[in-house]
Amino acid sequence: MIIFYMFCFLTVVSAIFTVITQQLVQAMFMFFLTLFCLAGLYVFALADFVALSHILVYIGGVLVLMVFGFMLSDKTVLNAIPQVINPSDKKQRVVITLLSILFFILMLTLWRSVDISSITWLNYAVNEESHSIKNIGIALMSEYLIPFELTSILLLMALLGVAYLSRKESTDA
Amino acid sequence: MMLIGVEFMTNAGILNFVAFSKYDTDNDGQLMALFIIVMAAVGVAVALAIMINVFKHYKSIDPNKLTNMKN
Repeated sequence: MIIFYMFCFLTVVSAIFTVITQQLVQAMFMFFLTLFCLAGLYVFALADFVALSHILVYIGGVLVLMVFGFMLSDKTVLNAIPQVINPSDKKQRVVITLLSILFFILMLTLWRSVDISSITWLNYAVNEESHSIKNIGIALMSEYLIPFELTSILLLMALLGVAYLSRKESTDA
Repeated sequence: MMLIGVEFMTNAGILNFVAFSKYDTDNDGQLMALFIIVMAAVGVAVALAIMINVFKHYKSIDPNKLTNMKN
């Protein structure tokens, strides 16, 4: 239960930070954190399929697309990061190496100590008590077939439209 | 930044749908959440294409500098 509150807290704090920060890069990273915490919250709501597709679409797609867009358009926006890390500074290098080694050890111990068979939501999803993924699949192919097809057509339209929008200038000129 | 704000709002909506579908037997909320995720992705793609075009015209994407249509 305490993990749930931690996720809530992290989501809210990183969201607020995203909104109030002036630098686009920091906002991006905080938004990344918010999205991950939201996916965790979906897992707590027993919506594991939604959580996974959220990670895939948002973090793998939308966020990368945003970063690409900013890189392709206005590089000066991304250059506003204050240069704190100086690679030629010996002391900083030692500290950074130590930090990364510590983090690696932390990850390793977590990975070794976690007991997969005792995670509740995983058991719930694997056992017959939950039919959420099965329900989603059946509903998509029966009750929600028309919205599903409409979504695919919308995606095709967006694909063509975006290709047209970003190519139009170069053919005119 | 405005784009991230829009994403926040859609995410809040998705969170509501998912949270309340926990107490629902037939997972309608989760389906709705999936559709909304697709909509948001489409929106971002189109918005970014427009943004790149705006940058080609004005050499900037800062909304405060795009004052062509004012007065």
